[in-house]
Parts: sequence; C-alpha cells; structure tokens
Amino acid sequence: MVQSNADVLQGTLDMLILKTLLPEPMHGWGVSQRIQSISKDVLRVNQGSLYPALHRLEGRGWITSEWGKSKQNRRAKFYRLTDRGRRQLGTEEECWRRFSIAVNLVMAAD
Amino acid sequence: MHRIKGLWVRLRALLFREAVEEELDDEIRFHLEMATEKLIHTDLSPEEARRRALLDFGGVERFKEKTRDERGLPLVEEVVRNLRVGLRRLASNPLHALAIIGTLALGIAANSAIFSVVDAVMLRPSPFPDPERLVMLWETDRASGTSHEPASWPDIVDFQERTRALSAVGSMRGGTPTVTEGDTPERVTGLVVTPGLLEVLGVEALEGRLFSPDEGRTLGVGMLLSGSP
Repeated sequence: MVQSNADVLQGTLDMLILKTLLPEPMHGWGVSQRIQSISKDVLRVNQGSLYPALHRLEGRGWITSEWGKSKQNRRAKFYRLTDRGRRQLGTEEECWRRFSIAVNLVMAAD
Repeated sequence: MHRIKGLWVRLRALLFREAVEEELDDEIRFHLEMATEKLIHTDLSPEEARRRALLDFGGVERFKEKTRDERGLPLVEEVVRNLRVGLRRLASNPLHALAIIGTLALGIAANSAIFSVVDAVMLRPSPFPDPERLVMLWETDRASGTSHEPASWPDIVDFQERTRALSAVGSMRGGTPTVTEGDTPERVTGLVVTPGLLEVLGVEALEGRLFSPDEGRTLGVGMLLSGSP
C-alpha cells in the first residue's frame, strides 16, 4: 500500500469511507480527497473503486445519499453516515486493529 | 430504516437501470470536473488536465457493466441457460436422448391411459339415477362352470315375473341392425332392450316416445329408436 494510485483493498476501503464520513456528509470527490490528504498522498482512491464502494455501502444501509449543491454551487451527490454505519465502523475498526497487530507480530518475529 | 432504504437502492438499480446509470454519470461528471480543476491549478493546459483526469477514471465502466450484468431477472436467465445446455447435451448424444424420451413417453402414456379408465369408471359419478340400486346380473352355467354368461329369454321372463328383490328388470344385448332409408341400407350399432329398461336407466326421449310394455311381448318385433345424430 505504499505505491501511489494503489487500489485499496475493498474491506479496508469501506472502513476508510465510513471513517471519512464520520465528521460530516461529503460527496464522492470530497471523500477521495480527504483520504488522500490525511494519508499524506499515500492512499489514492480510484473512481473505479470509490463509487462502487459508495453504492455498496448505501445498499447495506450504512450510508445514505441525497443530491445537493457543492461549495461551487454544482450539483453533487452527498453521502452521510447512518447509525448502523457508525456501529459498523466500530466493528471494522476493531477488526482492523487486531489484524494489523497480528501482522506486526509476525513481521517482528525472528 | 436505512436498511430499507438500502434495499430500495439495490432494487432500484435492478429495475430502473437507466435512471440509476444517469445518476451515476452525473456523479462521475462532477468528480471529473473537480479533478480536472485541481489539475488545472497545477499549471497544466485544460486539455491536458482533462486527459489526466480521465486517465484516472479506472473501473467505473467496469462497475457500470457489473450493474448491467446484475440487472434483469437472473432466475429466468439461468433457467433459459440451463435449458440450452440440456438441449445441447441431448443433441450431442441422440441415441441416449431417444432412450430417455422414449421411456418418458411410454410412462406418460401408460399413466394417462390408466387414469382415463379410473376416472371414467371410479372417479366420475355414474350417469344413472340411483346408481347404488342398479345391478347387473349374469348367469353361471352349472354344467361347464363358466360365469358371466348372458341369460336366455325364458330366464329373463322368469326374472321379470318372479323376482321380489328387484323393482324392475330389463335386459339388453348389442346388435347391428341394418337401417334402410329410401334406397340406402346402413349398418348401425345399437342395443336390443326390453321395454322399461330405458326408463329404469333414466333415459328420456328427445322426440317421440320410448317403448311401451306391449311392444316387448313377442320376440322379434322390430322397433326403432334412434340415438342422437
């Protein structure tokens, strides 16, 4: 995941999107930019992964969408985290934590 | 509540594919514009910026195709596909197919035949009035032991006059008399009956009348009763 333009693994991407939507609703472009900037340009989410993920998350009821106006007054679809989505974020965060600890353990072993 | 909305979103993607695709196009267009603008701010010409942005486009077309594939009625399509595979297999081995089809045909035919008989004999209600009271009598030849023998005329007369168990007795046998209308004789199939039998069986005359008791007294009196044409 160190390469630029990397395609983030699907499950991890779901978690990142949910986390990004936690503070406030955002459109798809906003989500991709926020992830990219916070990760210091390491994680670049490709449109081809982003929108399918957003639609999938909406299909599961973890996020909900509505059309609105961007800051430049353009028509855009905004996504918002739902209560179920918030709970799901917690679950995924926990899984990720355990996973990364495990990976680190293996890598640290002699 | 949002779960229901999620379901609706998925359903909508199946049913109103064009509308959903248009929405997706709008969404992507906005993203593309923003991406192009961002690149413009980095000193690239607008055309170059747009080209770069488009390069990033990646698998959105793939995603659209995926939703396209998931659309429709997968169950129906799968059934059709399985039918085609089955037909192809049959065609590739005609002898095998013939054996299978032949066995099925025989089985179905046998079943239909059996059912028709059972239906007519057992399942359908008897067309005669008071069928529980209707009996058919046969004679047994004591000398030879054969049963289900038809009765002779004297026996029939005896039955008619002497029985106390039966309220009415009639007899019948098949016959093929010749009917001549004008110049043309015609062989017809019919029944030779004693008068009264038809009333017992509940048969009504469409025109004219049935036999009267006198008409059966001597054997050989020819009376005609036509069936419906």
